[in-house]
Amino acid sequence: MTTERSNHLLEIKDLNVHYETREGNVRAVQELSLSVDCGEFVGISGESGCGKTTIAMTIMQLLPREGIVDSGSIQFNGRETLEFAEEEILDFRWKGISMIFQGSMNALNPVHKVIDQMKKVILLHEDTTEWEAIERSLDLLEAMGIERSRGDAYPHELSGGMKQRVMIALALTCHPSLVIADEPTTALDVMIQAQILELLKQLREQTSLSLILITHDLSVIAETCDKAIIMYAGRIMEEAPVDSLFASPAHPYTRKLISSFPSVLEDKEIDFIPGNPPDLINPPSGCPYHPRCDFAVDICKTKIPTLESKNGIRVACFRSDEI
Amino acid sequence: MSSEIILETRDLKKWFSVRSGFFSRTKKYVKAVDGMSIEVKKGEIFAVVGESGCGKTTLARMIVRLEESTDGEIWFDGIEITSMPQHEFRKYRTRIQMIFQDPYGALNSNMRIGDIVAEPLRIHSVYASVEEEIKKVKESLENVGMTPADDFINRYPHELSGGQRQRVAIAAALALDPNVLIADEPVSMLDVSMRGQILKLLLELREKMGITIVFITHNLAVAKQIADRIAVTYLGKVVETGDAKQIIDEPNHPYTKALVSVVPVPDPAVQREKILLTGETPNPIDLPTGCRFHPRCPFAKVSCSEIEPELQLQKDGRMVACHDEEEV
Repeated sequence: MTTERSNHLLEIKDLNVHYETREGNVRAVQELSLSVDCGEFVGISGESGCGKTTIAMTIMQLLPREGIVDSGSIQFNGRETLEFAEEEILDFRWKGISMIFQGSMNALNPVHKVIDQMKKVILLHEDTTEWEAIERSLDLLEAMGIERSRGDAYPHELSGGMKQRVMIALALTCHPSLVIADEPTTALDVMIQAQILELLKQLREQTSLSLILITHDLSVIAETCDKAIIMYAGRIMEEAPVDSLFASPAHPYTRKLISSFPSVLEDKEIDFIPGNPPDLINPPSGCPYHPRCDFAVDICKTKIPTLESKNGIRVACFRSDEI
Repeated sequence: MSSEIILETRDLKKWFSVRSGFFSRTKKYVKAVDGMSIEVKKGEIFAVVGESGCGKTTLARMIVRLEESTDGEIWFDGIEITSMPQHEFRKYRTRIQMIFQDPYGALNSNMRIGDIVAEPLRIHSVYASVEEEIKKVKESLENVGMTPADDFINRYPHELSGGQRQRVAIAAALALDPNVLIADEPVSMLDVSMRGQILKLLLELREKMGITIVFITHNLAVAKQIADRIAVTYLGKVVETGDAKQIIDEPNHPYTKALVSVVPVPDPAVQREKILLTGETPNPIDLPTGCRFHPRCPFAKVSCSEIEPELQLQKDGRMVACHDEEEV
């Protein structure tokens, strides 16, 4: 493990995570390095099973028992989180980094009032009075566009969009410097999604909050993030500022992913990626994407391309210069 | 595509009764579909789009009579099918088939692929001999790109990817050579990289077999890619219908305008003004008076809360249900 102190808010280095299953080891995240700075919004995208959620769960130290971190380091504010003791983990969750879960409308406890759930988080982490905790929770709900009186509601009395906002409010209760949002708007209607994304953008302007936005929806990343990371089979294929990623994708996978994505503004031809997502128990040799890649040559079948930095982006492809 | 109408709903309604209280005498209804009229032409892909709760799935289920309608008519190929008893409807059942959103839940995990595709043939006793049945099953699988079919008929659904499962569901629906395929969110649960395959397949099947497809979706971008014509629905009613590209490029109804404006675009260079509607879709139990969109409509006038607008034909051929559009 490195002892070098990182200057980034969050820095992940050479992370390897696998899940033990009866069929064999699923190599969910491999040789992953990424960083998030203060106030930065980072989007992580890729097909199902590419390891997006595993990264989030590893950062939060919420991996199931089968999930094992083989090696790597995750530094948050210069401290190695993978070496945290149990109390340190409890302290760092919510206060340091909080998470908005996938399908979070089901993450709220149905038998407790919204306000009680929020209050509890604050009281658990901070030495304040109950009255203050309630006040702060109500202020947050109000900032999320929910009336203060709705604090007394049970989750089932709220609509899907409101529950999602409660979840965002909950994630912000202890003023974390980083929020991880795993598919925060996937189950919501476009109108509610637009309202939630607007809320996130406002947060960015008003605070120095950093966000990792995990989603399969590239258009959501295009509209909210500064930097995008495209993953495939547990590896980063490309990392670039959002503008350049969409204007001139450097990796063939990114290209194909963008061209497969329909838009209401363009008359796009229907496109798709042939073949199936890779088997992570027996991943293909060489570049994991080569069986589906239009540009694959012999070297792609035998050697795994390293993620290299050039012109302000990082890309893992032997032929990215020619593309 | 001909201009002949193969499927039509006229003022179709589905009200689900809800109990408002144990001693309450007044019955309340969830008006899931509340006067929906659509016209689907032979050989076209007709998309029904809208947010959750707009009644699009209930409409689909009523067309195949998985749900009985409360009021209104459904005309299929010149015959009214809602008033027909179920046993009589059975012979039309083979001509209208449906596929569902969840390719994981739609296939029986204990059945082999071959049996899944053969089941509709067996239910409707189409073939007397096993050989004919097998031939048809293989043909259906090959039609949806599961080639060679022999590799798949003895496999189980869990051995297939999501995209392949949806293909099997389509193959089973097509085994009976239907005229109309009702596809309820067929690509929503698939990865973006896989969606295109299924969309292309549907387009190919339309080319090859001349099948008419009613495509139910919440995704306007997908509707724009695949549909010839669309109907935009809000709270159980059609608010705008006509040519798909025309409506998505230049929406007329305030709801369609707002809906199109908030769809995120996969291009950070695009800066668009979003019409953010406040609040959420009202409860379909207590519908607003007059135009059901007026409480959220940025252009609402006094008359909008009093009189419900009807679908009116516009100059460019589309139909819009809005008081502001009537003078056009």
